Order: sequence, then structure tokens, then C-alpha cells
Amino acid sequence: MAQANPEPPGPRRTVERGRYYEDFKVGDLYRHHWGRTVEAAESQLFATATMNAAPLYFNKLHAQALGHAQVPVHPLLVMNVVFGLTVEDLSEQALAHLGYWNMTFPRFVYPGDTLISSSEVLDKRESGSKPDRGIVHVRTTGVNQRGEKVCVYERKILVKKRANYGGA
Amino acid sequence: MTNERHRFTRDDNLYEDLTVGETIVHPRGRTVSDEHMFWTNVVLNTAQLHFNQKMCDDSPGTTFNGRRVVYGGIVFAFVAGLASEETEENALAQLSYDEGRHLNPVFAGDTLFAESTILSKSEDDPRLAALAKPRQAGVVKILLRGKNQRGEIVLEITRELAVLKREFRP
Repeated sequence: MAQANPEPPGPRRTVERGRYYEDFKVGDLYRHHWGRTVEAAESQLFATATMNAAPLYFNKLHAQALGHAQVPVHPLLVMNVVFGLTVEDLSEQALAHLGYWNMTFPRFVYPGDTLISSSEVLDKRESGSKPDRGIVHVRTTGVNQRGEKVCVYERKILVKKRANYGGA
Repeated sequence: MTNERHRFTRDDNLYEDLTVGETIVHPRGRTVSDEHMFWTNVVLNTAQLHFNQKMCDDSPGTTFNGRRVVYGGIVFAFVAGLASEETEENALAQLSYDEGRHLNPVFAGDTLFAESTILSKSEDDPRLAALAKPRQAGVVKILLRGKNQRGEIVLEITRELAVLKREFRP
């Protein structure tokens, strides 16, 4: 018979991350804290592992022929890095990510650039069919180390209500 | 040895080759494995329903019946990749995506396919002026759809690409 694991004697603090429906306020701005530098190797790996056939994102000679000093980072890796940085604040407790609107890429991103994300809550509404959840509408902005916008999009997220699913 | 310049793209997917109204059925499918968890973690996506099976087991009502769902941003990238050789290989830039919806979940083991419908073309879009080679490309608006092995649409999204004209292909 297995022994119960002996626990340290002090108090235990169980951490939970992520917001519930009630925690979002229209107009709130979240400055997502991490930031992330994108390197050349992972950029090349993303383009090729997703079977992206555009040599602009994996061939320096071709990128130079199109006017780039370096091979740029594929826009969908830029979007995924900008998005990933937002998850702890926006959707770590979400039920589903519903979709994207008005996504643009105002500047190219190159290896060595550091991406920083922020998000504004544009709207929220309760689900029409299920009272335990709601839809939060946000606009996320990704900038580089100079504060220049590199990826902007809106997103709708299906989130749980704290009243129904607890949390502290 | 030859001094002839090598060209790194095909010559059948330039601005002139994309026909408004046509739907391109892309040639390859792609089965998704547990690799999706690697990409979810690489981009710092911390939503556990993508990578914590115990949490999914304990919470079937708030996950996809206890199954680890593939993070949508990776579904998006895989579908775009499947569509890329016919649409993006000779693009100068991706200008926009809009009206994007994840209509069905994707799980490890599913096989993805892609189709692109050419919605419109424009040679005088003002955004072309900001590109490095402004008169060398046109804007193509495309409806990109990803389907699974049962033909169900998993992702649909519109996109605008600046695609090179034939005479300027490097």
C-alpha cells in the first residue's frame, strides 16, 4: 500500500491563471508581460515545418532578390507569437477561440526583433444559448522593440463565467 | 558551372495566373500529430486544454469532451502552408486576414486539406505603394478554407496577398 506523500508543513497556495467572463471590463488594456525575441532558426523551422512554400521565408538569396537584407519572419509566426503572449491574460481559462478579424501586418519582422503584445477589451456579451459563458471581443496589438506595430488583429473568445465555474 | 541565375519559385502562380472565381484545390493533405503541442508551447500559449490531458480528463464539460484540441493558430498556419505553393510562393507580402472562424475543432490524428477561392484582384490598391516593389505586384483577395478528412470545414478566413506579376519574378 502506497504511503501518502509527506507534505511540507507550511500553508499551500494553489495558483490559477486566466480570466473569467466577469473579470473582463470593456475598455481595459492589458500589457502582456513577457515579450519574446524571435530568432532565425525558429523562424526557418516554422516556415518549413508548416510546409510553407514561399522561399521569402527560408531562402536568403530569394529574400535579398525581393529587397530584404535578412530573411523575414513568416507573418503567421509573428501572429502566433503575438497571440501566444496574450493567452495568460485573455484565454488561459477560455472554452474556445472563435476567430480573427481585421488582421494586418504593418511592418516585416526580422530575426532578432523582440515582440511585445497588448490587448484592449472592445466588447463582451453573454452567450445567447448557454448562461454559463460569454463572448469577449478584444483587439491585440503586437509591436517590435522600437514600438512599431507589426501585427494587429481582433479576436473573439468564448469564456467561462466565474459564477458557474468557480475559481478564487 | 553556369552563370545562369537560379529561380526559386514556380512560374505558374503569379498575379496573372490567379483567376477570379476559381477555387484551387491544393494538392497535399497533412495529418496532425502531437507536434501541435510543441508549437503551442514554443509560442508561449499557456492554455492547458491544448496540452494537459489530465486537466481535459477532469473537465470534459469545459474542454472538447476531454480531448486535447489543437491550438487554432497552428491549424491556421498548417492550412496556410498547404495552400502556399499555389497562392503565396510568389507573394511579396501578406496584407491582411479577416472574417476568420474556427468552425470545427481539430485533434491529433486529423488530416487537413486546403482550398483557395480567388475573390478579387486589384492593380491599383493604395497599399501597393508602401511595398518595396510597388508596381511589380497586384493585390489578390482569397477565401482560404481548411477541411478535415470528413470534408468538414475547420477554418475559413479571407486573406489579401500582394502577388508578383510575371515579368518581375526574380
